[in-house]
Amino acid sequence: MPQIPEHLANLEAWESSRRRFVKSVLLAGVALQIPIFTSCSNITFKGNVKVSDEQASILNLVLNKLWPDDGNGPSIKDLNTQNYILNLLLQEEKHKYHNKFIVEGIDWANETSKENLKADILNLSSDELDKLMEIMIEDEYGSKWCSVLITYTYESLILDPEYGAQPNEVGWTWLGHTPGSPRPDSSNNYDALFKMVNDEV
Amino acid sequence: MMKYDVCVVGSGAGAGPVIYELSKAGFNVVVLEKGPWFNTEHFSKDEMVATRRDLYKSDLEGEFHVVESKNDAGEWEAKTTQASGKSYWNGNCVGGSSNFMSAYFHRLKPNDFKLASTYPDTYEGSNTVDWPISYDDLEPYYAKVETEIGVSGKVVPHKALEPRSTEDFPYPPLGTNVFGEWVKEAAKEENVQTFPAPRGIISSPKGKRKACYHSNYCGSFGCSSDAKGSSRAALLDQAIETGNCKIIPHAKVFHLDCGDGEEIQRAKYYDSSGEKNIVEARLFVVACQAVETSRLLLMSKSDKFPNGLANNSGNVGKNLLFAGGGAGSGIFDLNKLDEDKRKKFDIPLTFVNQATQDFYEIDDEEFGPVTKGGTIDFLIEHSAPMPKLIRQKRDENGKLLYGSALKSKIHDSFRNKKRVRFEVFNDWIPNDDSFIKLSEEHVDKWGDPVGHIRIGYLDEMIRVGKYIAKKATRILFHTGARDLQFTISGAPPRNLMAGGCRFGTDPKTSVLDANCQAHEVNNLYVTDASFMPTGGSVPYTFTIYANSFRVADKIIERLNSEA
Ligand SMILES: Cc1cc2nc3c(=O)[nH]c(=O)nc-3n(C[C@H](O)[C@H](O)[C@H](O)COP(=O)(O)OP(=O)(O)OC[C@H]3O[C@@H](n4cnc5c(N)ncnc54)[C@H](O)[C@@H]3O)c2cc1C
Ligand code: SF4
Repeated sequence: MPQIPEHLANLEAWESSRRRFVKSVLLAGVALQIPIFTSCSNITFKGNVKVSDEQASILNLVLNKLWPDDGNGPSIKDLNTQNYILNLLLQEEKHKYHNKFIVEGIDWANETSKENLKADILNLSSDELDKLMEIMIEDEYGSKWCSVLITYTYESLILDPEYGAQPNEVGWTWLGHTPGSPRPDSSNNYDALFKMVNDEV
Repeated sequence: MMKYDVCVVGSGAGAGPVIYELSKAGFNVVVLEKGPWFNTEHFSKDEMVATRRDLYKSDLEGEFHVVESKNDAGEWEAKTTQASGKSYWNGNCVGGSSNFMSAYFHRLKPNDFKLASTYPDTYEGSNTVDWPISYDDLEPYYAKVETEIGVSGKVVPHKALEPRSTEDFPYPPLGTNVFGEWVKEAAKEENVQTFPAPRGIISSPKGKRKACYHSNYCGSFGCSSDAKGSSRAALLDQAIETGNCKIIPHAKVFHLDCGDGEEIQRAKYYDSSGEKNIVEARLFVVACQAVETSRLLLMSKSDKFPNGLANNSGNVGKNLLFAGGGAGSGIFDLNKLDEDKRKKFDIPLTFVNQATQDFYEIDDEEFGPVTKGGTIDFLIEHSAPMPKLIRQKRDENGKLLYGSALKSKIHDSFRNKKRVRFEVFNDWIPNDDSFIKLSEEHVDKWGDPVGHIRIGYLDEMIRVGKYIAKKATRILFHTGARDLQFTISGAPPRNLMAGGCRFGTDPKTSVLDANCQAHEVNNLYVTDASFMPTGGSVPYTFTIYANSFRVADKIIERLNSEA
């Protein structure tokens, strides 16, 4: 059973104060491989060094259960959520996120499926998948993992499209939200300010 | 090596007035600030930077605190902020957290300077003491802050209005949401009078600073018009223009070095590459925000000060204060409002700026003898959407929601609901269990002991907070808001801290004298909120600014007399 990182044990606090860290080694050369996701990019992410294709598919499956394409507002695909998350996983230095927790959670979800429903998560019927979701939500670890994924989905819903989230402002439009002004651009976005904080400019 | 007249550690609200006044007066000032130097252009309304990744605050990976509070069993339990996720950093860059404040600016009242003698029964058994100065000593400086930093508002007579040397605020009130009017009328139904809450935000241009254009994201975000009275926009930019002020960013001071003497000779700091550097000056002014100020003094041990700088009396770090009180809220169902009301209410203008201080003193037989109360500020929830989204995550039983149920709850809350709020401020009563010391277990990324904060509070603070919150809730009810609730607790607002180096006349019981000069160290001053022996029932920044202007005058007097 993988461990819930200590800083996620108190999830509410993490949610209101996010720059958590998970000590992890930045793979050499990874920074160069980071694809630039623009607001119109909606490709399926292939060849992610952190996540295998199978893991990416499981992530996609779970994200679509947490945030289904039910006709009410933008879907995971519309929001570019999966690419948004996979992209963050690659930028460990800049987004000291609980990458390990996310990836371990993917494997845990599959194990939980095998244990309880005797099949790989990717082979479950729709009803079985519903059942698995309920099992995961009732579990302390599973609930935290799903909660973190929902928070990332939120990010893809309301952060500026500058970050590869909510192409064409679909999130803001759905919510009727007026963003603050001015909006970030390349001169003052997270990447630019991250460099300043680290005295790299 | 250049020897400066004055070295200031920190560049936020407590530092700004000293830096500004001394530079203008022609003294050589060097400022050591641990964070980067953002300009106005670097600020945008970006949740990724401001709140999701907390980039304006020091990274908890390398710099954190240990926080000790009582658990449900009543035992002290210590946790690092890395583990809890609750950072005690509030803004670490040139200008400090003043860049990110909401700037509610209430003055203290004359009685706040003499709580112990005014309410002896209430505060018996606590560490409450009178201040060594009176409201009259600070009043001219409040007036100065109103013009120099820029405070907008309108003076209307009310029960607790403090004496003023000027008739009104120099800047007229900011535009407000119609909800402000509703609050005003609702309060009347409870026989309560509200008044326009002053804000440290300018409503018309001042020099290079533009008026507030209501950018829709204010608290927690930097200001793109410089309307917000941050130390950076209101003071530091002009200090730099004098040619007498040098600001060194990425300079983390870790030791104020007395050598084997009794005065500070140099400040030692780490630069961004971890190298150690030194700065020499005649006088040193510390304003790192309360917790870090005490920590720096405690870290600065020497032969003459084996327990930390200016701490032979053992008072440094004691009587740490936060703002007491809490917050409450109610929800409006927009569909239940008539068309006209909805249209006016549901616009992206969240300023309400209505406050009441009718309960600043509680004179209610049912509550007990007359005692100290507090302030209520009314608000509409911030526009930045993430906090609102996070609140939708769980059902009423705390179970995680997902799928269509979650989506439709979110959609409903954004499209059909609006949350209104109030904040209660009452005194955090100083006591032996509220302090900062050096951690004996944990070190930061440079290997220095981190600050260990113990958070103890007295039940009286909660009792007063609840009394006021109930009054505020009744007012919200009359506005038409429903699903009313409030939380008053001993969990501190981490952005509103004071104390740790209280000022007083007796060197045995205080760290600083009435001029905020250390009793034990002739060339050390402290000008953030550390000096406050009691905090009053308002947020602190107006008073921090006013006091720093006051101390700046004392320092200038001294430097001139020594010249
Ligand atoms: C979101 C938010 C909303 C707020 N709203 C209000 C409000 O409405 N009304 C109100 O009155 N107040 C408000 N505040 C609080 C207000 O910002 C603070 O009271 C005020 O800025 C404190 O001034 P300071 O000088 O003590 O600290 P700061 O302004 O934080 O400045 C301290 C500076 O010292 C630096 N520093 C620390 N340690 C070192 C070191 N060792 N070496 C070098 N530099 C160091 C820090 O990096 C920082 O820049 C708010 C704060 C926040 C974060
Ligand atoms: S423009 Fe006004 S609302 Fe926006 S950050 Fe500045 S002071 Fe706040």
